[in-house]
Amino acid sequence: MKKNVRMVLSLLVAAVLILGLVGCGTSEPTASTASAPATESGSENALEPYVIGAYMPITGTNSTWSFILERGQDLAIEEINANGGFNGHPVEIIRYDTTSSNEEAAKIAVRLVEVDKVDACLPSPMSNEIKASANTLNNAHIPTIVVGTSATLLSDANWDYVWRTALNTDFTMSAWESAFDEMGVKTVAIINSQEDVCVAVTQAMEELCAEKGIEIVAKESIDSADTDFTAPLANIVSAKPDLVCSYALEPGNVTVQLRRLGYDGLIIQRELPAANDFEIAGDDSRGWAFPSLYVTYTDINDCDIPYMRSFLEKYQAAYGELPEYEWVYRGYDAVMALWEASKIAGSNDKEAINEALSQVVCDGLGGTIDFTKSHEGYESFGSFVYEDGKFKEFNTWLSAGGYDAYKQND
Amino acid sequence: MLQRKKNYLLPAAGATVLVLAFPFLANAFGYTYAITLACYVQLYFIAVSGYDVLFGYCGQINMGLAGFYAIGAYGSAILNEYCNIPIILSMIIASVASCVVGAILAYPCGKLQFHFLTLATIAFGNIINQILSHSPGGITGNFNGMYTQRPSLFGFDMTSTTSYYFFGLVCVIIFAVIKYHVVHSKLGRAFSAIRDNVKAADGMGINVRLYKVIAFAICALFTGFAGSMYAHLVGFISPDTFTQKQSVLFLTMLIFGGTTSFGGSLIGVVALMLVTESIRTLTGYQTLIYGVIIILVVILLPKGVFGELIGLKNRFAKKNRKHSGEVV
Amino acid sequence: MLKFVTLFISATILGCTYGLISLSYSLIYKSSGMMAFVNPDLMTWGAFLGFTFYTLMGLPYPIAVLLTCVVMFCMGFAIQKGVVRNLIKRNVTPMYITLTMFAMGYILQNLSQLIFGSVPRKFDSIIPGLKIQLAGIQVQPEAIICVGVSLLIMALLQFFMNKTKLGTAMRAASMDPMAAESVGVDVSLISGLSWGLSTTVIAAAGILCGPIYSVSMVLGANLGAKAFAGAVLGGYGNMIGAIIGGLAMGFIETFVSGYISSDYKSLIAYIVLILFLFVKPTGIMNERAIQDV
Repeated sequence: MKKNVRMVLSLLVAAVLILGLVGCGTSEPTASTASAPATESGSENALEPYVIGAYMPITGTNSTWSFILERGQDLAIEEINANGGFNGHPVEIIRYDTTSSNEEAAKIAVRLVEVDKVDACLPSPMSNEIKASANTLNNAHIPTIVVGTSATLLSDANWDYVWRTALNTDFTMSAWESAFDEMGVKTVAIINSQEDVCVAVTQAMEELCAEKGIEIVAKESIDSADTDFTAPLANIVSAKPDLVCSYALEPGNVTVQLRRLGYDGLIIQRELPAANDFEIAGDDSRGWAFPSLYVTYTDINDCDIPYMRSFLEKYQAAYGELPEYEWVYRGYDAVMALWEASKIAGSNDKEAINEALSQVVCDGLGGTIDFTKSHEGYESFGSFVYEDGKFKEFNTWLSAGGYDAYKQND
Repeated sequence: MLQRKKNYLLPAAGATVLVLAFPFLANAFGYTYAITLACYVQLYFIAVSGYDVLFGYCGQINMGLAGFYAIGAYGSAILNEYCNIPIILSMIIASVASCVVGAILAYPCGKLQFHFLTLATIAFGNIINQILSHSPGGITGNFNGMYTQRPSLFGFDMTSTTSYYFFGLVCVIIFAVIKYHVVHSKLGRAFSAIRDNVKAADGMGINVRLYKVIAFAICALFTGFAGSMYAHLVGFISPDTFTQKQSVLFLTMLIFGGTTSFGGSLIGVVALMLVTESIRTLTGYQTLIYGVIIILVVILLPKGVFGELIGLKNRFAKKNRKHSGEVV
Repeated sequence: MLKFVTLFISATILGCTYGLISLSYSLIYKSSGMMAFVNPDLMTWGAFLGFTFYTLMGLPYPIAVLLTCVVMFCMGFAIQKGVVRNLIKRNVTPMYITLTMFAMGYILQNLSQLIFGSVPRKFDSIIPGLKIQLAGIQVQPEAIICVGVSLLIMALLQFFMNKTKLGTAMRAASMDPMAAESVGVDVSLISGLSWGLSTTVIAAAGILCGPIYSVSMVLGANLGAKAFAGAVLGGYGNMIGAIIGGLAMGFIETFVSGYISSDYKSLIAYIVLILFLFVKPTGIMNERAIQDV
């Protein structure tokens, strides 16, 4: 009896494999909820949807922010479909999970190009996954918008069809140029993880300090997968720096352990820390200073930027709360920039849209997205400090004597 | 007893035509993605064949295959990038380097048994991963990884996937021939003896330690070459590819298909690739399904798909001969 | 001097965590001869469950810990009975059982993500507001609890395995199942219990270090891989050895990271592991490994 079961099973497996071949066909693109009413009307059924391919680590070690990135993309698509789509065509998005694997990202890019035949692509936020897959997209002339912040991503590869609507961490040093002078900073310590983003911004900071004659009294590197940073942090604290730059991938733990060892000064971050970083750091997040295009809001009335406010209202209507992580802004911006290009181009042809992208100047959640000078959408940004549970604009705070008051409270 | 001579010529010719015409067939059916998948199948087939020699024939576990995979990949990339060595040559040198490392590792591992051997090889895999991420002078690009190029032969750049497919095909044939000769030689018999009963093998005068080292070295050679094929196929490598999960994937493919056979390795690789592609639409559940499939295969098909199918065939053959009145 | 004290304290905390994890490895090995590759993911589960009970549901800390331990015990028992026992009965090659362990790990990882989400969370303070100063450094009360409870667990386990009837039965079942069966030990039940126990220990490790390191998906994976070094160092299968080994690994890692370079933190752990496996696989306590049949 057992042997018969085995026989049936092996035949079943063989059958499944053959079916799998069939299943390798085009996957059903998921139309976002609001596009459904649009496609129901008879006249638009004849119009081919504009298909955007997206992939990100939905599961695996790097999957922390994918869910909210998806929401940003979905909100944008909803709005676009309610307002005419891409030159009249409804937008649909096909999503794949890279399971935090570069190999999968590489394969998915080929699949999106050759099987799903997408019109545009929103790749993974992880730098390594982009590097493994963007060449395929570029060679296929698919307009691609990335949202990762690694500084060297675009400049290294010089892709004609890849654009970015997120902060490039290289640009952020200018935030500290004059600030350091005003604050009278003489010594700086840096702790950084090994990822592309972090290493690049560390180098930029080192150059800035060299320029200003600021001494880097300690520089430690850590593994972001690690949880205990006492040793490198102890080195930093004993060097008694004026400022600590924490360029770690997830700053919560680092800050908590740093504060415990006795450091009370400002901690410079490379971008807006996420809500759960604030949760982990708790009170220790007082004194976080960072450059950023935007902040997250706990109360919609704190927001006085009209474009951002209307986005927050849409998000709240869809999900019942305000977004806790800024990744949602990036997802939204990327799709909106693409839409703007389609309006300029007047057609959905890939080449036309890519050409049109170079003329895009439009509202973004972080300010103005401007592709006329380079493939980097954002060249200027704000900087903030977190104190008393609020984000305060850095330069204003500084000139109002905030830093002196902060130092006295130590 | 009548011995029906099996005529393999026709099926073999058919298979050859199919394999050679595959890219053009894929194009005709409009499914060019299959060519990319086929390239991955080729390199995984080489790696799993190597693992088959070590585990299927010689019975030695290696849960640190990702380490050899990495040495091949990074070795080839670094040699090409920094020493300007042409790619095909750098691939060969990197595989040989991997082979040497395998031999060196095998020597102390030879005296370890099953569980501790697993631990030691896991540790090896992790050590290689750490070295890649914290390399001296940042030569590997650490976490930022390295870009790689496609190989070129006599001035012809293999930038298209189809050309890489044919290149891969040649590699597969070469390594398949190597494996065939190893397995059907004194080496192969020694390996099987070691796997079945170490003490008896020792008693028969087989230098167990030496043969274990050879088996490891062969596995490392194959896997290293597969790694270099991977590096130049994708165009970018970084340490996060060469993790424990990769090692487990090799083992899964081997077990899925069945050990000690060419068909088994092939089926295992193809099956897992197909499964991955079919569950791609079930985003968020892929790893879960992958884990469940492994457990199901271990419980229900311990000899692997190919092994079970062969078992099936043999049973039918026995039944047929019984019915035709032959003495079985 | 301050740096040395800081490192010392942190090494002790890390060492106790490693000690508990190594202990769970040795427990399973001692009682069933298997390598518990699924434990790191169980640790993550323990941490997340504790977080759910304590922070999300607001239960008092001791109750949350107890509930987590009970749930994890049942989980470990279920894994042993449902999967492992099944495989042994079918006479599957031992290597395949190891592969199954990895597969279970993947399933648990994905489930954890689906149930608990992928965002790292913060464990609420057990004693909010309390700050302890130790030799000039602020120490979390949770850290002291971690060290204290770890040592307690270790002592209890040592007592349990050597002085109680059940513990002796466990040791007998692992030494020679047939002989144990013939003197009336229910080997099947005992194996299940020992897995449950090991799972509880590692869940405890998860809950204890949750407040210190924050609860995330990678919590178990990173610590778990390195804790093997501790287990082997002390003698794989030896309870006291596991503790000593774990503490030693904590110290080695922290001090290498502090005085040499933090780049080599993880590397040193794996080098220690492989060196000991090659040179002295029986570890410090000279534990004779069960011969793999």
